[in-house]
Amino acid sequence: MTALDDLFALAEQPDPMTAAGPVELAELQLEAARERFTELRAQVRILDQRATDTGVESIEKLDDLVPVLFAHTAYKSYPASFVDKGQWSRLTMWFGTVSATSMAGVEVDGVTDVDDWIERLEAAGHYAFSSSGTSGKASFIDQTQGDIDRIADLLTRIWGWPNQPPRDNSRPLFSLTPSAGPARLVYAFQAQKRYTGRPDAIYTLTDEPIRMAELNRIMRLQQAMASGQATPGDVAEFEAGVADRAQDLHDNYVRLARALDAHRGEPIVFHGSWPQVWSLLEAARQLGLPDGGFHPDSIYLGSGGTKGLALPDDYQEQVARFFGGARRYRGYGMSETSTHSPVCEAGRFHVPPWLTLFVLDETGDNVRWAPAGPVTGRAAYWDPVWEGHWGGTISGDWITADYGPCACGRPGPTVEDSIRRAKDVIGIDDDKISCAGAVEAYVRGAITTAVDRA
Amino acid sequence: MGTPSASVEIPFLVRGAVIEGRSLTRHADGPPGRLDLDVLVWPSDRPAPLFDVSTAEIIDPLVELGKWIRRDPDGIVATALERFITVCGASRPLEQRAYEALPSYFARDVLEFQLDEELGGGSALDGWRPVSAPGADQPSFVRAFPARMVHVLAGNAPGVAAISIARSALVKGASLFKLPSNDLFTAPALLRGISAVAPGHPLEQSFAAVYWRGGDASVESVLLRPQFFDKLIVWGGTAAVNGVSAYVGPGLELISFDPKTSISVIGRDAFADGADLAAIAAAAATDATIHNQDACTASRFQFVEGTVDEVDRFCELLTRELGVERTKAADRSQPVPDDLRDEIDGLRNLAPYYRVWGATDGTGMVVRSEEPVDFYPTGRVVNVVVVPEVKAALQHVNAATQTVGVYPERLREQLRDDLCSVGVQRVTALGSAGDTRVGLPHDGFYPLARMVRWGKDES
Repeated sequence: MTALDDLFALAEQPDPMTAAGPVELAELQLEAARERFTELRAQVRILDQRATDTGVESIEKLDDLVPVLFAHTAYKSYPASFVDKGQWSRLTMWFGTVSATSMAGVEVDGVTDVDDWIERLEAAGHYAFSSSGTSGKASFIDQTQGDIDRIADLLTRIWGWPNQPPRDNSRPLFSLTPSAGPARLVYAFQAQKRYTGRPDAIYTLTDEPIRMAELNRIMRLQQAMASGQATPGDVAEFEAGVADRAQDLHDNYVRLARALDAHRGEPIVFHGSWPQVWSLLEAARQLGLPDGGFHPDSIYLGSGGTKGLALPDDYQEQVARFFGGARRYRGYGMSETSTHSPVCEAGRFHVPPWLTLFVLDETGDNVRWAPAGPVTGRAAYWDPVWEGHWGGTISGDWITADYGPCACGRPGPTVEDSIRRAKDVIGIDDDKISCAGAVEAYVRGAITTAVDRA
Repeated sequence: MGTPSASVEIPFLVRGAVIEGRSLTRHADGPPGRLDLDVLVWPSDRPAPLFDVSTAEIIDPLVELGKWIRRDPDGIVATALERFITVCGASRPLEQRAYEALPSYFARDVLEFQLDEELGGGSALDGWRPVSAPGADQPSFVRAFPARMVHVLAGNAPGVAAISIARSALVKGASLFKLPSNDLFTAPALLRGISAVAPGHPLEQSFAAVYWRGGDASVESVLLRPQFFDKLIVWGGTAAVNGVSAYVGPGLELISFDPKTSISVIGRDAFADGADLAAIAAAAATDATIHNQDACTASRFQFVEGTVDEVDRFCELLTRELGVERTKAADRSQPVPDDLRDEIDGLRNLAPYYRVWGATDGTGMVVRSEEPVDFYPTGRVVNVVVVPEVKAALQHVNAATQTVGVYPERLREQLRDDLCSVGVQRVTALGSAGDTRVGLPHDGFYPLARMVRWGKDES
């Protein structure tokens, strides 16, 4: 895998974004795509099938990858009844069709719920990560141990760019996620714990792992409530549960706010999704903690959307005042890609050189490209990093990108800070439901968003 | 098909006048809407234009309208059909046949049948009907009064425009049609027919048909008020229903032809000796492909009683039949949408639990399973569910289930109580799901009865 190794070597340069020239990079990406396509087509059933259906026999140019990119849907295309009825061997059979590695060692006897099933996968070397969308159905994507190591390495080489914190376990680390569970957000935390966090100063929202079974139950109930199928008793029980969890979490936020205050003078690394960051800010205010005074080498990241929560219009400004003195970091990514795209001084997101960004038209079939200047459409990625599954992904994002040089002086491609959901632009149907409880479900586990998303 | 571009000229029809419009919605690259909203409403301080006209005098010009559509003396209908196909992307052979069926909505017997069945005859509208209430010495009187209506039309079948015109006219209503972007031309063309066959008739003054982008608050928030309209009639789509329902309140009533799903139930007789399984599969395909499966009556889930091997034989035949051109179907649809393709691909390698037939090219696919699939089959995709007995289908029926096509005939009577008790609105023979009869209940109610206001003089 020489081309892949050469791509990964770029990450080790002081500034990965400027480490390759454009011609050389395109060749490397193409060669890595050829390597991975040949290797993974033989291993991933859905890739082989799609390649056969669409007549993609070899990768002669990067655009040849477009017919074999998959939407998020592919990773939740199993029948929900497999989970509801506890048909774990069938679910494993399905998982085998989207995975690059054999399910031969997966033992499902005695599995009681989906979390059990995920543990059995892990025991056999399949580190699935999952996200539970607004439809209540979770996706499952396979990773190998090699994938986990690789993304941990890449994440910590990019996070904080262009002034990444040192990878010497010297920084107090705050990550407003559960510390364990099959979610990208958790894997991101674990990467930072491995390379960045100071062992005696690592703080998470909770040590209670993300429970997919419970998340699914919450999502299903929200759906049932929305469709009117839930009984009044179900609704009452749900709302009582929401209140209990809110109280539990409040105690956690108070604990975190105190810890944050104690490390105010040190260079910390802080990451949370906006609703959680907001809850922490409220806890800090209740404790009477002042704004500002953070160490100048501290970095904080608020990510994701507001999950329908009614935050004040100026929540980002209020959070910025609280973190006064620290640098705000931003990135754009999705859970399916190995690495996020960090923001530069000019406010644009730089796609790391090992990722190939495609901008597709409304149909998702045609590539929009220009050597320089804005190109608008649906974002898709060829991601050669993964060995546990096929890394070609069509996102639900509508972006404006530029393949030319950036105003910051570095090469492209870059993505403008104007990302929207494609379905809002081109009217794709959505299974989205809205419920005041959704944020609680989010706190129990990462739901749909990526590691870092501005 | 999205929002019409600013360059598409749409012939709005407002109270008998043709206005070459674009959209009431301002486009970034086009001129703003130039139609005066004032002409789209009927004042509440005077009777509706048709109030004093007898139903007989309304039916006569409607019958003439039907003849006019068939004759099409000025080529207006042909032009509308052509633009429907070229601008809205409709399927030519399919819509040609759909347009040929438009006159049938204006047949005299069909119109009179609706009034008789839904309102007990035109007399309910034509005058005060005496009623003797128990315990009262003197008779009371009731009369149905016309309402002012906004119809948010669906564009998946041109019959929607025809039936809406007929219904509004029969109840003497005044109606504003909000045209759908996937059928911008049928309703205006039919309204021009009214002007052609009955110039100066109050019918002309009773209709307007315009386009604005659904959800455009600058239009909807202004128009959708009880001061201007009494009834809001919405066809189909969840987005359409949700989009306007915020405006519903006291004085503005929602009449919703809800988004619906239709299914088929096929008993084990289909596999008996002497049964013509190919013909049954053809009937099942006929129901699945109504308006290329865009219609609410189109069957998407088919519950088949039999062994897996038997059902697989049916699936093979069904797959072949899905690609056949029929009265209400072209020989293929648009290719299966990408997200659906992802879902189906996920099931392809799950034999023996799932099996998939057909191609994603729009000629038809069948997914056989033990449980209904999690996705909504569309784009000529049918989910055949193996059931041990037909009654097992009942647990998958709900308020969104519209039509159930049943085979064999004798099962209809056996199942109809159970089916309709749990939400089904219509039971019919397999192969007949597309043959709807106006004048019978529609989506669980009698539309004409909902489209009037009742007045009473009570003793």
